[in-house]
Amino acid sequence: MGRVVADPTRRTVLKMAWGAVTVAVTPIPAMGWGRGRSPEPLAAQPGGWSGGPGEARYRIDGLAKVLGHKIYARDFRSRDMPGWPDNERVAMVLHAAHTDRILERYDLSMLPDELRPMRTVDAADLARDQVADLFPDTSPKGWPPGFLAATGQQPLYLGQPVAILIFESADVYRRAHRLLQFRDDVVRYGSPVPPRPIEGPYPSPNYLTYVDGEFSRVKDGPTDPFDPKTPEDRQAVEWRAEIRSGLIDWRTDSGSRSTQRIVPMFMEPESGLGWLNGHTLRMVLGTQAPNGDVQDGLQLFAAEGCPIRVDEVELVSCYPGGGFGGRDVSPFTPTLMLAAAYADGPVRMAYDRFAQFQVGLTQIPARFEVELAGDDEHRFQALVSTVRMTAGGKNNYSQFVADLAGYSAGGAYFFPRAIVDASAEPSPDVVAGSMRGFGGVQAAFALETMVENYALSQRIDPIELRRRNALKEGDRTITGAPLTEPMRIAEICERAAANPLWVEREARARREENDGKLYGVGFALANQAYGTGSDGVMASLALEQDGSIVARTTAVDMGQGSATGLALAPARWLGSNASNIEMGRVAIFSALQLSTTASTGDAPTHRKHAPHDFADSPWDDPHYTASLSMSSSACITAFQQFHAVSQAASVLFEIGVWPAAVRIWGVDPGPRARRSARWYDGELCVDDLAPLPLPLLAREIYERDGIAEAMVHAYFAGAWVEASYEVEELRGRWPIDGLATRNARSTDFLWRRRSDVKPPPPGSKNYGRSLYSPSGTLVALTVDPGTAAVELLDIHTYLDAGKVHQPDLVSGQYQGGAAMGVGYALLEDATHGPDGPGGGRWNLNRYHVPLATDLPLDRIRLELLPPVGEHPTGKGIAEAVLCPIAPAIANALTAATGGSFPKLPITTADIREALRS
Amino acid sequence: MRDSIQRVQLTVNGVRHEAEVSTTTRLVDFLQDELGLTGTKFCCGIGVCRACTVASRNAPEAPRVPMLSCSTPVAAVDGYEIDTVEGLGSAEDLSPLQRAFLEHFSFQCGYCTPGFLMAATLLIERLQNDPVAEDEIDAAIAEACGEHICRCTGYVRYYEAMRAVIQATPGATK
Repeated sequence: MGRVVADPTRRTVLKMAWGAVTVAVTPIPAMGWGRGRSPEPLAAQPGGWSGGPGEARYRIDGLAKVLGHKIYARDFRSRDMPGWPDNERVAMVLHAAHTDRILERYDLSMLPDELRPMRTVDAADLARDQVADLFPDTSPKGWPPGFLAATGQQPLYLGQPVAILIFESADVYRRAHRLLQFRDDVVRYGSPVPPRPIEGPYPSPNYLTYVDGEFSRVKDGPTDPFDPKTPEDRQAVEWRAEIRSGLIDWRTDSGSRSTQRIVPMFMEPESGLGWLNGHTLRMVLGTQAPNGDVQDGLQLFAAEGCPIRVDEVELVSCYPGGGFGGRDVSPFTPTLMLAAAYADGPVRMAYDRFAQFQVGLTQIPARFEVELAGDDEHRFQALVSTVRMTAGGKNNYSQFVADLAGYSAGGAYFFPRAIVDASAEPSPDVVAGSMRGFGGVQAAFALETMVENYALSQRIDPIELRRRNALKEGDRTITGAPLTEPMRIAEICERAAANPLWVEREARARREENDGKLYGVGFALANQAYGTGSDGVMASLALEQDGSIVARTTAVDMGQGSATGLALAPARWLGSNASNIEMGRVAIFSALQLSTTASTGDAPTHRKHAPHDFADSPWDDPHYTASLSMSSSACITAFQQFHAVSQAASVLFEIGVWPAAVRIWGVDPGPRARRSARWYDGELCVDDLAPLPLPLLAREIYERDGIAEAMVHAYFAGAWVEASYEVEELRGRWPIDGLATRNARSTDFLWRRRSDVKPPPPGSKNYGRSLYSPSGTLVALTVDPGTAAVELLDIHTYLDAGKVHQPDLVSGQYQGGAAMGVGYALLEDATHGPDGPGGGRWNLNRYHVPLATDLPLDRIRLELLPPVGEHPTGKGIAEAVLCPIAPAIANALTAATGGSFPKLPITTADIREALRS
Repeated sequence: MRDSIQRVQLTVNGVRHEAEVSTTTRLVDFLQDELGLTGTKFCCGIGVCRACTVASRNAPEAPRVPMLSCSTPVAAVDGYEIDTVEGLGSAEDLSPLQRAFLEHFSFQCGYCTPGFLMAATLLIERLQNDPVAEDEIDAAIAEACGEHICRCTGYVRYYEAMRAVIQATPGATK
């Protein structure tokens, strides 16, 4: 892996696409294997990671991880970076631990002279230098802006940075940190003040009104029944009144549910390097959104009067040591950028775990009011659900999370009528943003425990109730989005109902009772969406002269295995896996010349389109796409990112490899032969023509300067956008909306004009989501009636993962999801307020994540539904496998104790209470 | 602990080092900042998660035992032999556990992997001197690694790999 900086031509295009400052994201330098050690070619070991085509013997990043190589941002020091000076400074951040009193000052007088910081950066410095706030429009309404907390004001939220202290060296930092940590007299506060007023939720709450065949978001557009201004708003008001008045005709059950705040607790506390060298900002980071995070942070220096000038950013994107959503739009990146801007050279910033707890993004707790209505046949007729999420002091994806909680409120069931309100409300607590599940996990707990209650109250078998109401292909979701793929929810219910755990549960309960234990089996479904509903992905695939394949992608592997999975994607088209994959790449994709701004005609004016606005045919502009790329999350690998790499391989096969084969054969066997061509043992085989190994084809391509690299962009919203392309004399049509190619002897890409575009389906901008990975989990457990201790015995999950690209990665994701679900259900709870993580004194001694002993390791089982359809695709499953775990545990506890468990986490006290009542 | 400067010598992965260190400098910081050995991971810093586990012994003939490098001052290991994940094997010559962790897809983000590797390596060394019955393997693993935290994997594949290596190690089981 080499250090690559985009050439000026590409940067020009990048400016158009991504803003005013160029950002070149590059892979980890290959020198970082520790002092005195030589680089080792990780992917080229004899019998290395790659198995047969489409198979992996182990993770492509595995060797580096078992050898302790430098691959995480925390591993790097400035001395490790080519061209960086060795004299690295170290930054420490003071954070606000109170918001209910005035911030008076920060006091470093307890430090002896030799441990004083070389430089401090606080709100006064930022004001003087006109350093802007970051996303001021994400602050609660009426609250003042401010990235750093200002003296004389109450801090905006717990964990808000107060000051950045820059120390001369790691040794000075460590000794000073030791003296400053946990002291109440460092950040000084004045008298108590009232909390800042909360003037409503973050914009804009998600209001769904659905009446099958009559009214929906997809059919009638987004509506606001609480501030009706349009005819559609008023219709929504009327439909809601009708739904509510009709509830009396049905069998109803209602209840409240609540979920707690949890933290991602990825293992590597956020860390990085920054160096503002002239006007070039160099950074080393491990983030889920390398380009996005840096571009966002550059807002800090955007004011005209700001003396800090950044013309370009060179970012080394490292493997994050876990993510789970907590490294997406994290405040760490802009804080490090500030440190770099004010330091006199390279600066390292590395949170310790206390700081990570205090400032790291958290999951958003939620409160639900749910009412279910069904007919005498126990078919659901209506859902009324209100979701209120308590976010932190910034709208950091917070409302987007609430949006998905709203879309997920109907879960795996068909509701012919629905009223759903989902909002995220500000609070002065730690910023709460995305985390694994992204609203779906909270919604699954609320709905699935309510459905269980409904079944018990109506005296119907809980799985049968679920099966009877399962969404199926052809139904519509509560947004009105059509379900156009097989929905195998009923099949999951049928399989679960036949599982011995379920069939024999009463007999087993009797046996356990004889042993003094209470036994229960619970079931829960989830129909977790994957993707964002508007997904842009990019990939490039190069055939090297020796026949090896290199893939480049914007995706980041936080551990979910996307580097490995995506390296398998070329096999179908090229007969071999990629031997190397470069993750987190951004700059090279400027060659696609795409923008979310559509141009009208030849005039240089640009018309701004809302991201989902397909009006006025912006797709007629060959440079337009609705979404360039998105932050990496585990759930977009198997379908979206895999599609991009696979399509790049498909294009490369058709316009590079096949023409080379035809030249070698000396005869063109025709398009039918091309479509039926197959690879066997690395050789391209067509009818009775001579089999051609890929290295031979590569040699032909390089000798004739044929096309050796294909770069694609693809966009999905309800369907993949399709387009036709002409490449020399070849014409092809692929499910991609952008294409560039590179000839073998060239370093430049040629942009390829698209035509005959098939845009996304009408209405898809309002689908909310349209891709789902249904899952269902059975949990068996015992409760000790004396101690209320819970022992998990079995966790058995059914999952429609579609086509599985790499079985070990899928089951590994599941096992981790099951563990996280156990923590969510029974262990994890980040207290609100200054006594919680935001106070700065939390660590793993207070926040308990599951240990191996908390889990039934040998009985965590995954049963994958065999894929159906002619060309099944992979599905994003990282969140799907998490969502049903906690409600299944709660339902199992209900079965064991007879009690109800409406809130998470379920504590020993809750179980005792259930046993008492 | 009072902050002062102390001269220490220790052997890390077979290489002898001498340095003047602050008495409050943690072993993990010394390994990372002074020796460039960042394979040993910092996570909680208070000895709970065990991602920072290294092997240590204070005499050449003593058995190696796990040490939490995040909560051990380097000044406290003056004269010790310390071994880290970088000393376990190479790409060409992986240890059985490294190979098993790869083949079982044991880890995901991999940040906790060095800690598991070191603890499991020491477990196997111990079992070779004090073998357990086949049905005691899981308990032995739990005792050695049950407190190690992994956030990605649910531990299943770590345990499968460790079990397989123990079963295949001559003398580790009765």
